[in-house]
Amino acid sequence: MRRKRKRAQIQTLETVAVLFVFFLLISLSLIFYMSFSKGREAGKMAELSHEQAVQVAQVISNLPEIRATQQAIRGVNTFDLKQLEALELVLESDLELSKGIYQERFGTSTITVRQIFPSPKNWTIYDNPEPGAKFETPFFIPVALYNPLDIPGGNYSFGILEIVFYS
Amino acid sequence: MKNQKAAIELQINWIFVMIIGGIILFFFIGVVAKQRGVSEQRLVNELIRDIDQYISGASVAPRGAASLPVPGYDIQFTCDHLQIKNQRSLLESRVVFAPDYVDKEDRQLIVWALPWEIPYDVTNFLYATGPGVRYVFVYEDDKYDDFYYNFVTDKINKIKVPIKDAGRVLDFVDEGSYRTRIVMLGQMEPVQVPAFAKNKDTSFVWIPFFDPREKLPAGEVYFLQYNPTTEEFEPAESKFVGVPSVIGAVFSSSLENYNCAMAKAFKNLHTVNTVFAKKVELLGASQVCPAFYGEYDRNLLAEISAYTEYPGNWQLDLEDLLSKVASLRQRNFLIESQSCPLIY
Amino acid sequence: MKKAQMEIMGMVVIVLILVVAMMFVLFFATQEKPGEGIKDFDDKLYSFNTLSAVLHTNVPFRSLQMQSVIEMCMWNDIWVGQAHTMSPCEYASAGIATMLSHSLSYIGQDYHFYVSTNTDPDFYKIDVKSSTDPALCAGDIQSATQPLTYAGGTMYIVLDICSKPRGEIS
Repeated sequence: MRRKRKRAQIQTLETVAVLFVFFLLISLSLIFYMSFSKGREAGKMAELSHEQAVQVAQVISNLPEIRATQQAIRGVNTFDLKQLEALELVLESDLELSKGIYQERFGTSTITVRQIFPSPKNWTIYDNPEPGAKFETPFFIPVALYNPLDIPGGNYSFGILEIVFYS
Repeated sequence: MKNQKAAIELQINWIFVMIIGGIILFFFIGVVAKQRGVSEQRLVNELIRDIDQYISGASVAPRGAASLPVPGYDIQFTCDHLQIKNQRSLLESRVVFAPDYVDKEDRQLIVWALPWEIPYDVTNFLYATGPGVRYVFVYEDDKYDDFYYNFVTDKINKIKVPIKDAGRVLDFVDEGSYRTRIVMLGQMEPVQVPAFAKNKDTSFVWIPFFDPREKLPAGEVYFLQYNPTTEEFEPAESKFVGVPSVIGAVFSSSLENYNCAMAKAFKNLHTVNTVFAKKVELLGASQVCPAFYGEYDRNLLAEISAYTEYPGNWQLDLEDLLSKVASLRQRNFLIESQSCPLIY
Repeated sequence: MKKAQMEIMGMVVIVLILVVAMMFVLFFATQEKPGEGIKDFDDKLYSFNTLSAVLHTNVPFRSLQMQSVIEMCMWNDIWVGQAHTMSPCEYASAGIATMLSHSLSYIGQDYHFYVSTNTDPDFYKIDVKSSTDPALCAGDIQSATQPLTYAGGTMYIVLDICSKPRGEIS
């Protein structure tokens, strides 16, 4: 009788042990999967940040306010220098516009146009970084800068449009 | 006694197995259901993001109409946002004209963009619709042929219909579209829709005085919505400025959405005009071509700015604004003829 | 004893099956879908945009376009009209080097800009590189070529941007 009771206890113990191992395996897999997901999400955030930077780049390089439409070089983003200066001044002075429609368009980013040749010059059109941002995604586009004051016909200098997007 | 004990033991064992099996099964079912929900949410998020990016791309660089394949979800549009299930994407300053929703059965979103110039490039108007929305064009003047056949994109479900003399009933058949938009161009006597189309899913837009050959056509536009109480289509008036806004009236689901989108367009105009006004100041200060960029040019742009300062009131004094726009265009031509830096 | 051993064997088999099944699940679940992103700024277009912007830039000397200076360089390397102390080839090379070093190098990209002709495709009258490393641009490159006719025939202006990821500062 004692042997039979002991056998039954062993059998129950066996079943419990199997279940324990089974649930242990499941838990380990879940933990592994969750930590992997976490890493993948971080990668996705970086990708999203890059996409948003590209989106801002698209918007700024096609902005009618600064695009030199009639004097544009085919296939190159061409900005009118006077319009660029005007936009810089407007965004400095008009809070309603800079905190309104332009913040909607550009978000948390810093947008700078750097003239490289013939002489270096910078215009920081928009500066709204996010303090403590996890990602800083820079994006660069070559641009031609049209100076309408050199009449007739104006002249072109070489520059880059730099967008740093914070997220 | 032994047999009884064994039998009991067996039953208890089975009960034990069933309970544990049930727990394991429910555990896995729960995980699968949760994952399914998460996957669907992820799909909706990605879809919203794709449509948003597509709209952003089209809003800065207009091109021919394109179809975007979408999985089976209703896409809802308002003036301020687009929505799929419980996910929203704000449209903000982007000007989008669309029906109130695009049905999931359409499996496609058709997107088209046109630049709105008044007189300079202000923004691009975006139009979104689905193949299940039918656009029925009716006009009696041949001058609209070029507009209908060559300008309005063929990607949408459009049809031009004649008017049956008896009762002036439009001659078209039911194709099972979930929305029908009747577009009446030019002056004409009132028309009737066939009986199957006399319901809330049909609406009219009528532009009586519209010449597509003009540089910047403007005038009245009437939205006729079905009233189930009176069983008639009741008109409400608005205005249009430029051919892209005519197309906007065609695509808009309602007068409210159209007016809201146009208000956003005028807000964009105010923004662009502010920059050009500052440019004129800078050009004036540079002393290049002193005959220009003086008080006259500054006042012209200041008046346009003043007019567009309250975009919600865009319909007031539209003729006055358009005369200033025409003056600005002429001024720019004159400056160009003198090889001086352009205003725009 | 034999029965118990068989039972344990059975459990081991079950555990093994479960482990293999988990590995399959994890394998498929962790497959990365390639990120699509926005491909609006195509890499090839980037090279072409840069090249086009460089060629249309007006140099300080007589406000000539860089393209015109390159043409003078390729055609006997003498100035047409008022001359500069530097020859057209030297002037163009210096200007192009400034532009590309402050743009492409600034963002961590290597590059090779060169001009050849249809009559002598292996000789570069203008040859501007980001470094003297012989392995420069040995890997993936995004290349843009602008063919132009000039007095001496056809010249090919080429800009190769070499394979560092675009837009990231190294």
